[in-house]
Amino acid sequence: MVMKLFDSELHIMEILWKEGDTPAKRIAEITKEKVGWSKTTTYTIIKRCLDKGAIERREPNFVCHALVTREQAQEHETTELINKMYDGAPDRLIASLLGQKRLSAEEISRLKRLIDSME
Amino acid sequence: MSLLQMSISASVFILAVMFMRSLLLHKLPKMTFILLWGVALMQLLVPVSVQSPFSIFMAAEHLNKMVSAPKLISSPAPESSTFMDGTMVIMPPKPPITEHVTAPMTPLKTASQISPFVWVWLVGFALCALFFIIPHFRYRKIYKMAVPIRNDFITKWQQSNVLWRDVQIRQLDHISTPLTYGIFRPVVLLPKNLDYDEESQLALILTHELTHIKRFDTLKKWILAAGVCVHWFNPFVWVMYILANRDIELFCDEAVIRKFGENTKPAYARALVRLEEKKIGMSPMISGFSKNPIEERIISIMKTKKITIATTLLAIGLAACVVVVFATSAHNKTETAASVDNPTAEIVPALYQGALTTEIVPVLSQGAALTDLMPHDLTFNKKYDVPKLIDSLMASKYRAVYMDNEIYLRVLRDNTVQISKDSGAVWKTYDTDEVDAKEFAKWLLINDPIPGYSMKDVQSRLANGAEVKHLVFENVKEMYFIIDGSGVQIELIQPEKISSVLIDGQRMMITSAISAQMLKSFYDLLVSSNILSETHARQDYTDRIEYLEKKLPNFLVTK
Repeated sequence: MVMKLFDSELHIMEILWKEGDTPAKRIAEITKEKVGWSKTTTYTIIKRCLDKGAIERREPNFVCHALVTREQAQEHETTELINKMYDGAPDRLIASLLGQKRLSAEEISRLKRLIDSME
Repeated sequence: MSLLQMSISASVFILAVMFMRSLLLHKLPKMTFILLWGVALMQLLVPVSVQSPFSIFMAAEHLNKMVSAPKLISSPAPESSTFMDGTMVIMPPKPPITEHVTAPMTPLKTASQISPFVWVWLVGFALCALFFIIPHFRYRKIYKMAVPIRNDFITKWQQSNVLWRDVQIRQLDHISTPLTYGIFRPVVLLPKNLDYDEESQLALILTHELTHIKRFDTLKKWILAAGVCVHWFNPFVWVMYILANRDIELFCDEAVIRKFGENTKPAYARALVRLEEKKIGMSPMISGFSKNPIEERIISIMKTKKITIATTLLAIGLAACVVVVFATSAHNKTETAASVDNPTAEIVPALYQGALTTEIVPVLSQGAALTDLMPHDLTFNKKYDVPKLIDSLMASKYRAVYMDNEIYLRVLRDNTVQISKDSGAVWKTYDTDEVDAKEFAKWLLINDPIPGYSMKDVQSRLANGAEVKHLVFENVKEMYFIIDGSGVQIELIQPEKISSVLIDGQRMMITSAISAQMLKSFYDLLVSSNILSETHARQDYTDRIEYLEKKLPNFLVTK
């Protein structure tokens, strides 16, 4: 079984692979120091891993247990990109509704020719 | 100024800027357009943001009035005064009583008619705001999952470009193009699939993002979004929103090229295209609105020129022209429009004040034109002993004395009504009709010409057997006389407001536009009717004039 994981999720997995089962609280402490995530952010990512089935929650103390091995995990390719629509400021959202579209191969090459011609 | 007026006047300006932009986008420094959009935003937002939420309501109300009920604007005074006046009940000409039932309700109805428009606006505003805010918080959650980057070049670059705000540079694999978020603690996010070895491209990207941060562009974009939320019903504002956001980007590109030199233009443009190329797997969107923004951006980058004195002067001149011609003329227009509207807006509270307080309320001077003829009840003004005046009246042969431009009127102790049309020289007795007190009480309740404090009193007098007499004058003026042991109370219904003074067993009323001459005549009448002694009258007159001159700024004392 191969599982695609985002970098953020891989960070969590890395801790579990290295240290074995770890309470969520401890994971949050580690990520806060190493990556600079807030506790909320870490818990959001843990939740995503749980939803994907990459980890399992064990009680008591919300201990996280890895369900996939390092070999089964794969970096997520940037295919489900979000900022084609949105880039931290609200404008892209509207732009996307009104014509900000992904460029086709022809359009890309046309733009390249345009640059050449203007150079 | 109403929201709609603001929107319309700003639209004119937006159109002008759009036109100028389409002609000169690549010719003028980009700063020009940023400033012009800023002016447009001020036009759209400033009066609203300065005023209270109530004012927004008022603004929307105006909007509604303009849309739905021009008739109400043209004749607000009589309709509202019907409801609010004390003694001087104003009715439309020749009003049969059945119509009175509905006429005074008009102000209330107007209020409830307004609300649908306000509600529609509020709902649109809320939806629009949610449309911006919900995705923002959803994506922000994802942005927070970014991880630190270990890259020597970036570390070095960061050390050489320090801002007073702490800028973080992180990596996120969810995104495909670089972005910046956060206004006060900005974070630059770089996509994972960026070519981190190509340092010149990295430097361009980071400089671009840092320029955004330095210029608070995220904040600008949010203010633009706020403009769209407030003016969601105006398509021009949406167009401005899109164009202004693009111009922020172009202005930023311009700065990057300035910094790195004109030679970098092709490299920079190519870097942009490369980033576009990497956006893979995106669902195709509806194409459409004008030219492809990327193309516009590339042309803009390639055409970036050194800013010369000539272009600067041209830009300043043109921008000044556009602002002066479109922004200020619109402003003037809105001012005149506002002055048409204001009386209704400002008078309503004034009328309510006049109606609901038991003291003399100096009517707000802004509303002068319409409040001139507001009756002022002097009865409860303790300082000038009106009760004593009423005592003198009750001790005399008369129960009420009334005066306006046309007639003098006295009610005698036996409730006969005397009228003089030649300033008191000849008095004639007039016949009155009897009106059923119960019917009148009902009519009064529905029409409510009497301010709240005296309605109860009048109703109890009517219930306790007060007699009601009715008199119709030739010019459709009507008078009701409520008569019982404690005296006579006059309710006047007239087609239009006229200056008048009244004293009856209950009150002394005076319209503020009365002349000093008329007040003098009134006191003369009181003397000639043996109600006041000459000295008493003179003293009372002087006190009254002094008080009115001092307390009522729009009291028109003509001598």
